[in-house]
Amino acid sequence: MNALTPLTADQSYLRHFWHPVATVNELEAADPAGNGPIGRTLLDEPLVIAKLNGKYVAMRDRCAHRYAKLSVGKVLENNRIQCPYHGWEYGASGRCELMPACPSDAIPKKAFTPAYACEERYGIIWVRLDSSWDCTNIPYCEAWENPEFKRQIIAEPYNWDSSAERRWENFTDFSHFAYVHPGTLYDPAYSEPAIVPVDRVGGELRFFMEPGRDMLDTLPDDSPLGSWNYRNSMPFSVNLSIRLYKNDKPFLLWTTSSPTSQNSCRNFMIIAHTEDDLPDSQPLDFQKLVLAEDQPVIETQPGPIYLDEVSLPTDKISNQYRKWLRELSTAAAKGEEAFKAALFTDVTESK
Amino acid sequence: MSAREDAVVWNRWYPLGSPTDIRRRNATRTRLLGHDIDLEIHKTWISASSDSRPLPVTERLGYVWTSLGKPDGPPQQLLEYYEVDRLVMNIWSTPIKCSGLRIVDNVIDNAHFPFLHPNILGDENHLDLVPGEASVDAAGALWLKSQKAWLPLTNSVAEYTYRISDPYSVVLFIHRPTTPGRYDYLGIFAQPLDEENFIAHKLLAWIREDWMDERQLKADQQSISAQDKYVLERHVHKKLPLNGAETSIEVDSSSLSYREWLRANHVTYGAMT
Repeated sequence: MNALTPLTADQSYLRHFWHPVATVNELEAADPAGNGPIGRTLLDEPLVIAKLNGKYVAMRDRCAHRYAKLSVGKVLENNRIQCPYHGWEYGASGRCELMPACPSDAIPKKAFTPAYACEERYGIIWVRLDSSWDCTNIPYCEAWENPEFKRQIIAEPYNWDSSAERRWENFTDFSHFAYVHPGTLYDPAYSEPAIVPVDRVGGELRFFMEPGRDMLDTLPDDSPLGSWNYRNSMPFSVNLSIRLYKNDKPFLLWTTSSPTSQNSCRNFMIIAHTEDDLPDSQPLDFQKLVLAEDQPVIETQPGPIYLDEVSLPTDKISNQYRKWLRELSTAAAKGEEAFKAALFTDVTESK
Repeated sequence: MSAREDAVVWNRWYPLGSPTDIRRRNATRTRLLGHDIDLEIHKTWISASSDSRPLPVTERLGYVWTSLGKPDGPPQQLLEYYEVDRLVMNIWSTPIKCSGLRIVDNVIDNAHFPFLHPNILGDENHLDLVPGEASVDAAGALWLKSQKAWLPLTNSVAEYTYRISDPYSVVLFIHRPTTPGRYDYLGIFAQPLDEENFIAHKLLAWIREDWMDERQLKADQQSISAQDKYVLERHVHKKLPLNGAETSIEVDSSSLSYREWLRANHVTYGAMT
């Protein structure tokens, strides 16, 4: 058998994007003061996440001294992260500020750990590993933008043994609903999806779907059946803005997959709705049910996407997505201007 | 004649244009086989009707397809179009004043390359065409395989294969010496407005190379097609002669095979019989 050809030869373009690494809730649960540290992995890079001087920081999770993990240490009252092994203390810039064994010796230039761009938004901590081009934004989320929403639920992140690319495709794949989610999200009778216009706008892949209204009769009440409007910030975010058929109210499913490695991902989810007294557990439990249907199937796929896979006309969303990923990867290898052009050149099919 | 009398032509799928173009132009009307077609643009699809009769529609190969009759199966397939490493586009959808059968006849005729597209698709120093073989497959499609022609652009002999699975369309497979078994594709799909007018929808689906510039490719392909259009609109007969009105000396062996195939399939609409 011939060797398979991966969709993208070079994954380093992903370092130019913002990725979620933890929720604020997770950091706050990690220690009583709510400052961390916690350890997370992004694109195979172990990170220590903490809050120093009221600001979130992300650094390589490795003390320069003997390479112990800083995330197993603690955040001191002086707003430094202390290594658990020999007590080296690091400030927000990643520089070592104190070596307790030789407190008055000059601190070597190499005594630092790289610090990365780190921001909090939507109750989630975001990291960008390469900010040299500084041209990407934290993905779009509608949850706090639309005044109709009365409640925003930031779900507990979940890990899959699957790549972020596969997770994204799974979430936006129209032709699997009838097979993986019969009776949950879809009626098996609707197995042939529409081939919809797909736009690239401002670094987002946008499209619109109208599942059959007849399915209201057969699907459970919690199923978010409605018109589905997607605004998906590249590369791994989905903002699925739904207008529910049952009551004509908006309902938001937002998810962003974080690439921990080529074969694993950590997934963040926000649900926003208009109900006054809907317990959080209700929409969350429904999503858990959907995820439980997807996960065992998606985890059988290899992490990387291969050009050798067979694509159909009805795979338009995933085909367009794959083409864009490929263009971004190729462009990043050429440099900043090519990357910006690949990300921000709009292509419109819908009008 | 009424297209309805030609069952082979009537019961086929035809492209009405790329959905992006239809949306951009906000097109509400077109014609097919002498009939007005009304288009309605929805958010997720485009519907078509004729005299208020809803027509079947499907989207394939970057075009919206419909049929006035009862086609037995989907529009012709080219699954390679959906390969992710390809650059695909509609080169243009342009009206041409002659029978749509004429453009298929033109595309498969390599002998015209040196004269109509000098120094692009051929030159007069290389007229020694190697005739390819014509065959009909189990599904009834006509294949003209491995036609060789001198290609000045690359300073080498190019190899083409043509597939004609519908009277009004042809898919050109450009052989790729660097990746045997994979091809670059050009599709010419005619939308016959009537017997003497059609819209040529021209598809490109090439394996993307680093040197490719989308706009330049489109412009180059359009200028080649513009040269063909010029000649197509100046034939003495607007319909394609299947009755010997053009002598066999004037047409090459591929055209003869195509015309023979049309006769065998009893195609009369857009033809002189």
